[in-house]
Amino acid sequence: MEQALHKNLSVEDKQRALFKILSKVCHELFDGTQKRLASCLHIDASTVSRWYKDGLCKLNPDNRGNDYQVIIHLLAIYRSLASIFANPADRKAWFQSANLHLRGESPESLLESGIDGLLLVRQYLDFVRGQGA
Amino acid sequence: MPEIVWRVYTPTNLQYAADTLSADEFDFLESEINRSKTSRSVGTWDMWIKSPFDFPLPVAANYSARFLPSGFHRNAFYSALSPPTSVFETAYHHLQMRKASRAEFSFRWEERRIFSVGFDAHDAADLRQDPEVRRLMDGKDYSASQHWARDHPDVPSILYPSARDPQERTCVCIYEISRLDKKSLSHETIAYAMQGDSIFVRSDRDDLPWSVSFPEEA
Repeated sequence: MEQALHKNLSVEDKQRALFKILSKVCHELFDGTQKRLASCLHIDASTVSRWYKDGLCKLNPDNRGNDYQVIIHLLAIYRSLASIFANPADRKAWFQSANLHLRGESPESLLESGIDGLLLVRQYLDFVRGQGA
Repeated sequence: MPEIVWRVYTPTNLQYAADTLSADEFDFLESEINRSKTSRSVGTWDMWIKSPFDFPLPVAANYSARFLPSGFHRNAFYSALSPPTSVFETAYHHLQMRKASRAEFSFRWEERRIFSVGFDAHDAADLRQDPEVRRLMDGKDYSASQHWARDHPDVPSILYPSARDPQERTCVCIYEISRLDKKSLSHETIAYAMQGDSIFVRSDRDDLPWSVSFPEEA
């Protein structure tokens, strides 16, 4: 069920919101490099370049297709990193560095490797956040 | 017998997009992220109580734990009978998560929450006096404890000594959410900061350690 606060957003409003947060993620985790962002999203670099030109992430939020889902997973990863690390520089360092808990690979390279890598990183961060006693 | 258990968790940082999105845009994004989670929706417990029960099952090999073997059919709520034990346990995992990365991290306070909740321990398996307890609480090798869990697939909860608390106070692994009250009793903010093999602890409580070290785990 849609929540009241965003129910009046148009498709374009939602596309603009997605672009705004995606460009923040690109700036923080990918050093602002659109090509690396596109590579991790498995979306053509020219498409991402067009989003930057338009200021809109031109996917239909109501259809929730594969490309859209991949973006949401990346944003969930970013949200977890922002919860775990207060310092944005630490988020980027973790994202770009090899990790013994993740097959010795960096989270960024796992995202580049495909949707399984993307889901692995998302689930790992969910797990880490839930580890407790 | 009613008990109180304590648990530390990492809260969602709801400020992550505050400089970027309006309130309704943020609400849209949160709704999309939450919709994309594989949630088992275990009922009307407070979110921080029920979230450990929401992980996909069976337990994936990467996410096995002391009493959660790979392929296990249950999730678990790990907690402790005292706040310091909960801090020792979670500080250990905080350190391990950072040490697994090759990155160099800054010294920065990271916000955490500690809460307490009522727990029905009347049918808990109490391993604290078990002759095998040393093997069950091994600091690194979980094979004995995971074997025990497989051999006792219906036990609702387990009491066992902490491997991270120097005083070996009691940890509680709870498989059955019905043994937990639906509402937490208390909820406080604390913070961890890592430096080398140590975790510093910031809190208004006077019963928590101010620093925790695990040099042998480095």
